Amino acid sequence: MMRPWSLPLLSAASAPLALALALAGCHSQVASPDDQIGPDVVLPAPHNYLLPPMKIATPAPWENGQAPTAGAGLKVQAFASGLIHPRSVYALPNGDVLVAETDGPHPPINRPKDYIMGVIKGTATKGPKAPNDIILLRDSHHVGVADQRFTFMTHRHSPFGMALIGNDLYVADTDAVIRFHYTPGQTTITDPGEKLTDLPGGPIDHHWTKSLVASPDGTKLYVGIGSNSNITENGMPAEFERAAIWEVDVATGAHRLYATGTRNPNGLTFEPVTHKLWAVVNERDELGPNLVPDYMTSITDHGFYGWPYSYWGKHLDPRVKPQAPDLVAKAIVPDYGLGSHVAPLGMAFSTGGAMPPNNGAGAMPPQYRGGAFVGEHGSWDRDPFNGYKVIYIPFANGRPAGKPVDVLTGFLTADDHAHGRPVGLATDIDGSLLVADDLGNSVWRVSAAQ
Amino acid sequence: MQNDPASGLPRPYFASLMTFPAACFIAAAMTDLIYARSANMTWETFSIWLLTIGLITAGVFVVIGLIQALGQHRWPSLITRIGYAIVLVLSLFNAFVHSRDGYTSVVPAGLTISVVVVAVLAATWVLNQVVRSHRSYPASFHLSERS
Repeated sequence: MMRPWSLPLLSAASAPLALALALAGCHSQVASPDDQIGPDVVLPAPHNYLLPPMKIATPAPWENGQAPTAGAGLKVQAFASGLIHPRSVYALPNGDVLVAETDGPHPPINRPKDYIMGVIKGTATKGPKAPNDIILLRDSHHVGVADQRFTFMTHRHSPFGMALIGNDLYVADTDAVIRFHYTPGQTTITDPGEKLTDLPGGPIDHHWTKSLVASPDGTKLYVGIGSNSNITENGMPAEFERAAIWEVDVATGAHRLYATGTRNPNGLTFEPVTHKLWAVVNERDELGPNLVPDYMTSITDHGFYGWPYSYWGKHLDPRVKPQAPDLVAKAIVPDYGLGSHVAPLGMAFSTGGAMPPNNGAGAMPPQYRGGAFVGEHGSWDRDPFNGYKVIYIPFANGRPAGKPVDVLTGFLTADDHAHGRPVGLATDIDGSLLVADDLGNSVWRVSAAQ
Repeated sequence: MQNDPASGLPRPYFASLMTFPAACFIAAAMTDLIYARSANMTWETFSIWLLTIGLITAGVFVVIGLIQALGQHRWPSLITRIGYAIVLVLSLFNAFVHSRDGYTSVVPAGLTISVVVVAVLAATWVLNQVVRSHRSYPASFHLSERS
């Protein structure tokens, strides 16, 4: 398909222009999304664009009583609404839920494109700027709706990841991990905390969300650090210790790169059977509507997952010079494709409610236990849209086993508006699923329909 | 600017004004060459800003040129008009190529177009000189500044 605006150019073109247009290429095929979901994915040839495809869902916020559609055997409740850009959720052991009302720092304009993209992507958001606060929600009647709301922390620096180890609450701002003393039942924290380690932050901070999880033994923190560009266009020095998963020692704050080549890793979480670290990773743009599939994968110590040099194992990205053949040779093929540009930003394993007070009764039906929930924020550079839903992927023996099942849909309208966009996920102590919706300004709670 | 002795009207400003965007496009070709040798994205960033500034200023100068042409009937030479039309179409196209991310924003298409643009600029100037050197006698050789 020729891009419409290229026709007048072509008629005015001289020979080199026509040649270069041919280089720009055509793209007609949009593969069935199913071809890129699961362990084996179909990868078309990469394209070079003059004007990459873009399709933005303009906001049409939920109106009174509107909610996403729950999957078979499930129901959805508005756990909280009227929030400002809730981006991540964390369930505390006493049942309280933390929500980060957060957004990234204002990106600098390095190229004219940055300005234009900022204007275009700005049409996908609505409402006031996020205060960068953390809100505590309490469902004191245990009905699945938070009836109390407290401002837990204020004016942080783009907070995203949260993890509790004992009485230490760790918050991953975009530029540092901070430790706070937390007492169960506490509804606000005013002390400034203690910095455990700096993280790669501004001034560019392209992928700013820092996902955080504690190791099962509580001695290490794992931090997802996204790349500082789509594909190195801000220069390799800007990528120092980025596109990686850091392992941070809780006692000393020292870190090492646990895994690398993960372009934008989020939803870091430990699989409950094998205790292996998993993540969802957002892959690169502008190679085509079906490149590159975002993925969910177990994370191997010292593993290299391709970015920037290659994708899905050893498929070289022509936009990266100089290449690094030594690294590409050991690039790991991810475990499970989720589809191109679905933008997975949240992941949580379904424990089924093994913890008190339910003691295994579980808020989730049996067919939704043991696997992974994934929140797909949705595409902006692909027609038709991809993502904009929460899915469940069954697991067996600590590995994905089967096709995804829809858990929450209905975020998009028939006329290409978006009511909401799912982001961060958490399973609460009942085993129900909490979903932050940063466009719909809500937290949805998904549990068994009864 | 010097007025045309025959008519007393000002000469067309367009060709003189366009030396600024032309300098931007020539500089972009140079920074493209440096990027192609170094793979240092800073040079690619130079190129895309030079192309952008060149195109925006050229847009203003085309409007000035058209106002003068339609209002005072002072047209730049046919060679100048054709030459810059090719340069601007190619450079607009080149700006899109340079807005890609990474190496393919320059190599090979972007650098190729930048070099072609420099060649078209050079050809425009040389041809204008050749025509001008023949212009005085006889007057019918005038391709430029028809009123």
